[in-house]
Amino acid sequence: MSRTARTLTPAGRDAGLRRLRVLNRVLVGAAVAGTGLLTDVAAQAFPGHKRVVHPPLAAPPSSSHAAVPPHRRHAGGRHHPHAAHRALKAPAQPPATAATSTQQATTQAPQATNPAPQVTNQAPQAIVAQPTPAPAPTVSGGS
Amino acid sequence: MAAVEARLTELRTETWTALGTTAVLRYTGSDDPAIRAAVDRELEAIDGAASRFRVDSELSRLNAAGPARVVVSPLLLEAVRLGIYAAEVTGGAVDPTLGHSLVSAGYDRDWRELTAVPADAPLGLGDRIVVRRTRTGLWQSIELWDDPPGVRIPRGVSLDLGATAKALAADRAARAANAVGGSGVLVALGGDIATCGAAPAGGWLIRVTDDHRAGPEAPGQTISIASGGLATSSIVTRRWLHRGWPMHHILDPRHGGPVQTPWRTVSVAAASCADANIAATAGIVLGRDAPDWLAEQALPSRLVQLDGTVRTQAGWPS
Repeated sequence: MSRTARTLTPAGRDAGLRRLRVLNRVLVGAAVAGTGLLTDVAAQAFPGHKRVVHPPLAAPPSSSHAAVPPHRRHAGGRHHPHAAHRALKAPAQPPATAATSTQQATTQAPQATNPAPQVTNQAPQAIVAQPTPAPAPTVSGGS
Repeated sequence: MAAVEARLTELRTETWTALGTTAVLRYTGSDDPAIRAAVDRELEAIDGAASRFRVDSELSRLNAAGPARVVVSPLLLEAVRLGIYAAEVTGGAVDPTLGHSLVSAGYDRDWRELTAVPADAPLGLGDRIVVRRTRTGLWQSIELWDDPPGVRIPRGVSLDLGATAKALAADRAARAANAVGGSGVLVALGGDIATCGAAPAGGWLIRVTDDHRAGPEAPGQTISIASGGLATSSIVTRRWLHRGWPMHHILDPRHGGPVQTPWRTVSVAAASCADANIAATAGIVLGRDAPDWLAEQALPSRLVQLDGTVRTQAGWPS
């Protein structure tokens, strides 16, 4: 009976509440600090998941590279070729069927047949009239 | 006037070995050693910056540095940026982060030092068994800085810029050579071709075939281009044997092994050699999706199936 009365005194109750309040504050502060600490550790342990924006080329190697699209993510590592930006640049002219060596040589012929204004000067015409053999083509293949 | 035209159509040609492959320089006009010197300077610079096979290259130091910010030269920054650009525009099909996969496939030195296998050797499934798998999309986590030039690569990543650095070198070399005297210039590095300046009459003649080491009489097609670049990627060249399995050098980023594709050779013309190279490599990797993707890019293309059937599109002459 006397023990119950002692624990229920207003002074004892207030002291207990103060201790609980302090304890709660400590626990809340520790939780906040712990959460921040764990977040930082996780961020350091697993880099590479943040979104990074690569700026355009400072000195683009060609005009097409000036249009570097913003950095993008691709879901799940699967290829999404049709979702890619159209940034590769087509040539000014498409490739053409090449004239054969003979054709290339004969294209020089009309120049040789053109009458020169000064008939006495034949030397330059003689140089052009010689059908220079067309050089072998440069080879493009796998390397 | 006629004499002037005749002189302009003269072509000088030089061929030598550089960057572990064949280099060809062609230019209009008279002989000028300064043009070759300009090309040599560009090739030496890219080799020192972006070679994976030189321990003293900037790229080797960058790969060894791990996930730390590394100050690099503007040239290596440009090469890395081009590699990321290639991944972006191809949806990751051309991936610059496959260095470890290439090494685990046995491609850890100049390929000429590897055990060669015939071009028609079947790949089988062994390519995927012995090759180290990598996470896809890691190229998105590469960080770049402009001033000072810097690069940070993700942990566990090794860059391989071989797919694009060679084309970049060709573009830069052609521009540098053209700047010397204004001549029309063609630079070919292992079959990747860049041009700059006025083309000779009839354009630059190109023989498109499976192997750049083949002669101009090899099976293929002869075309001409007036400007821009042209590149060819093929799985029938640069093959080697690794742990008993035939390998080739074009990897599928999805599993890290040599790509299985219906195309043995893809050729693409574009405004630059770099763009052409990116598209040709992507064409091999994308497999059956390649024709649609290339058509979407409006890039003149020539695709050769494994059985030799040729498909041309987007303005490529048939």
